Amino acid sequence: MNIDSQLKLQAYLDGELKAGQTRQVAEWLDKDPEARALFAELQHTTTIMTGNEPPVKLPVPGEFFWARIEREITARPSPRPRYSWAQWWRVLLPLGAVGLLVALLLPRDAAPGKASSVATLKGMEVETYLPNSQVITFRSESEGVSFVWVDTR
Amino acid sequence: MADRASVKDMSKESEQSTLSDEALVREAQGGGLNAFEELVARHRDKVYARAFTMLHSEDEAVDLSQEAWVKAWQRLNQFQGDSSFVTWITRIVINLCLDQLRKQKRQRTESIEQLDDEAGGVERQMPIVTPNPTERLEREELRQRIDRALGQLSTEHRTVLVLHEFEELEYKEIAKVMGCSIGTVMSRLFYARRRMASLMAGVKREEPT
Repeated sequence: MNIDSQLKLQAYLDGELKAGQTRQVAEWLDKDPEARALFAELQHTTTIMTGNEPPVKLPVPGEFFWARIEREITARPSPRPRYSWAQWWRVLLPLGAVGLLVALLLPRDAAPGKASSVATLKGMEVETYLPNSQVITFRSESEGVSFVWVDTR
Repeated sequence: MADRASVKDMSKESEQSTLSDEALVREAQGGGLNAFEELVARHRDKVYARAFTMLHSEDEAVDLSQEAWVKAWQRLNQFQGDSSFVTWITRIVINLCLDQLRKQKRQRTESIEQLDDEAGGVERQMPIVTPNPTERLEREELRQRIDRALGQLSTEHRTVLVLHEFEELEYKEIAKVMGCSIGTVMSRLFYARRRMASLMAGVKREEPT
């Protein structure tokens, strides 16, 4: 019997064969006493091991065992609390409502040079910290750039 | 005041001992160290046992099982509950043991045993063992003999046998955990079983009465 046949026999025992192969091996087992003997040996080993894992107990007292674990984990940061979607919604919903309210109440356009120090220009934000001064900062979020223009005239 | 605090602690402890693993995991994920301690108390023997069966060294098994618990704490938020908590922590300790065995393997020179393992080995030529129907062992004695026999296997054979027979993993799962092909798993399992059969020759499983 070659090694491939032996491994096939084992796979049959472990239920790892496809239906067609299972039938073939079953027929082979019926005809071949050597295959049956090897199968019986493999099956016997599996049978005596199943449910008979040697009982092993921790050889140190539980308190000592835990003490080292505790020391290690308290020396490092604890796991970040996990948030569920429900928890996120509880935070995001009121914030969204407030944001919407603010957006509705604020004037849509603020002309440069008027009372407001913030103006919107084609989606870009132009901000003058001192309306009557010659210093203007310009920030484009989409481009990720900022300019500071200083007019000394 | 101190009495009241200790009574409160005790009642919290007893409350935790009645909670399910899932509930304790949720508490621990929120940073609850007491809940995590309860999980350790519940499963420390099982986790240690897996490490010991794989390594056959008490000291290493204690060290690695403690390391597994520390890792579990650090990765607790990755636990999604797809499997049970005990399965999850057992996988962590198995991976640590495999890393340890790989380290040891790199350190030692290639042994004859290792050559046998990959090339076919003496187990292939071994005569088939016929179970002796007259010998019956008490369960305790049977377990001791299994333990002794496992101790005589190579680490590769022992690992694959433990993962298949005790952890009940399928071939492909073992291959994934051990980082080898399914073919290698099959041949290692085959030789491990044959070697166990010869080491346990004459043992008949006690029938339930």
